[in-house]
Amino acid sequence: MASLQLLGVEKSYKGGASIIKKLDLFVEDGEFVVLVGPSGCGKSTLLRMIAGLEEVTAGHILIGDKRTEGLPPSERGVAMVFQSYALYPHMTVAENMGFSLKMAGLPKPQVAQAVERAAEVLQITHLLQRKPKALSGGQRQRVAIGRAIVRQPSIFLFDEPLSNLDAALRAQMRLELAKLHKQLGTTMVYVTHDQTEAMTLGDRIVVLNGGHIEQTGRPMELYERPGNQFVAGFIGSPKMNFLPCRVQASSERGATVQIGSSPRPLQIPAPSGRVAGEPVCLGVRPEHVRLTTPDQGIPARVDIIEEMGDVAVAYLHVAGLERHLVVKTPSSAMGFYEGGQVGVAAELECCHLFNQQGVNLSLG
Amino acid sequence: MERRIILDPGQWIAFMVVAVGAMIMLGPFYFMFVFATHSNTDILSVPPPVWFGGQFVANVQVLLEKLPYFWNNLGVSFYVAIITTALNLFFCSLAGYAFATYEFRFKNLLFMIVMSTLLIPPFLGMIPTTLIMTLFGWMNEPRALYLPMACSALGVFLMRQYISSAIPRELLEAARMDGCGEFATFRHIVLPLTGPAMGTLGLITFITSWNNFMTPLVVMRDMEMYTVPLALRALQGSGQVPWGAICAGSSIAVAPLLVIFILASRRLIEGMTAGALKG
Repeated sequence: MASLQLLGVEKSYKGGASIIKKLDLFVEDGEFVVLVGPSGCGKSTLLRMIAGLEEVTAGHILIGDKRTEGLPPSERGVAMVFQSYALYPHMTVAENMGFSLKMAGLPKPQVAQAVERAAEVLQITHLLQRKPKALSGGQRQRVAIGRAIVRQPSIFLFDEPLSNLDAALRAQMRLELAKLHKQLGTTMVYVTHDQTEAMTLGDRIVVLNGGHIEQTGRPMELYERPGNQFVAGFIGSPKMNFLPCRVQASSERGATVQIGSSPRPLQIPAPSGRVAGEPVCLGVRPEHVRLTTPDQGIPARVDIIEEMGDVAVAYLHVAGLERHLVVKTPSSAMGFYEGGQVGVAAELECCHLFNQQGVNLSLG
Repeated sequence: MERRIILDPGQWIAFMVVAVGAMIMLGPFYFMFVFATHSNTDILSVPPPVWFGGQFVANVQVLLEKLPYFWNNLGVSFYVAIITTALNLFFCSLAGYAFATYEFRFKNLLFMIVMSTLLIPPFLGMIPTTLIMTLFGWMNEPRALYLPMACSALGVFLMRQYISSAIPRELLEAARMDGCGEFATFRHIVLPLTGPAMGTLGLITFITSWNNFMTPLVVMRDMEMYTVPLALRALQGSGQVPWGAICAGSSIAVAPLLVIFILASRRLIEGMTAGALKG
């Protein structure tokens, strides 16, 4: 096991744009860190740089106390699980898992023993003599993880390992990965664009955007206290509603804003000192919006309802707003229909105000 | 359950065209085997024989009388074809791997130069090859045949296409993570996965080398160092042409190719189409 430090790490390609911009990150020994971000934000590149598959343009990567400049991937003490599993198709499962030890020159009995041990952990002993083509997606994924375990790395690197699995299998493997982390206690860095994976697996989430870190924190911290509009929009599903509005008044109790052409202003918790007329953006998660009768909240019209089983997601039209207001509500509590008139009320203590630069003003 | 394939009229016509084409192609081949079993008189009679006769052994005896080194010639052909194939597989797979996976300066230009050699007629290379072989003192030696053919543009192209379409980058990266150096990655991962392409290239190279007539004609001087096509050609210049003996010799010469082709034809087709299907 080892910690991981990224110090001023940069990556750019010749004649191309900068992919990673002066990035600093410390991952504690035994921590499970999830890197999330939109496509092209540099999360996979960062992982590949840690693995040694991409050169670092500037800065340093330290694994434990060891600087990694010039170290080939196999000597960094890391193991990577690829998105496509990258199992060698001409080798059996046992050969796949033991390949790194064979290359390291370990005697055959020792390799077999290590493979057996890892196979037991992942419950794939019965698959050891099969070729990858004879395995299901979930089994292949287990073998790919097994191949990583056999090396007994200081750090596990996962590059969207569950993205090729169907929803049910993904949920199962997610659970198994969490169990594996508890069992091994090894440092893990996990890249995904799936929020559920990020929220459920990570001790800490790092949100990347355009090659830099937007925010790092515990999953619930990012959900409840997003530092900026990007993180607020990226974490949570359906994504947070952003309603452009203007500050009407500001006091110790918060800022009063008006939504669309609604006659009912809302008072959002925010530090005092906001200037009346200041353009801001109100952020409210769909699950923090309540539906009431039209005379009680902001009047709105239900345009579309998506039934999800346990919950329903409704898209509302509010006069004066260009975009739909999205509401997530338990299906059992749904007493409305498409085309009907409703009232909208928000849990004000869960709302956020973002300034023009996207900074969350509600955090003070 | 047996499934019946019903062809529509268009498919029937296409089927017939292909069948006629196949007969035209196979005709000379068939008659070569038939004539190998008949005497010269039978072969030159009208109409010529269309079925096998009983003169094969006699024809082989004539062949061995006129070409006392025939078995030696067969050995030279084998030796040259096998070495040429081995060298081609080695160099073309390495070059194809490099072109498919590495990024280096002038990569595309170099590949274009390699490919452009396909446009040069082989005859143009005859004189320079002869001069170089004379300079090295390799004339009349098998190496004068296999060394100039050690790496072919077609082979480099075939291997490059196959590797870039059939071997994902992540597999090579996984090998690097597992401690493979460049050559170990090639040896343990790339080579075993390029079987179909290697089979195809091997077959093409072997056949090309086996059938090669022009280069041996220029570089081989002694009759015992002749390859089979050259030796058989020598028969035609010795008075009355012994067609039966020539056909017997040709049949013996073509037999190994036929066996290899029958055994490897499936792999050959797989190798030819794999890139197209996966690309």
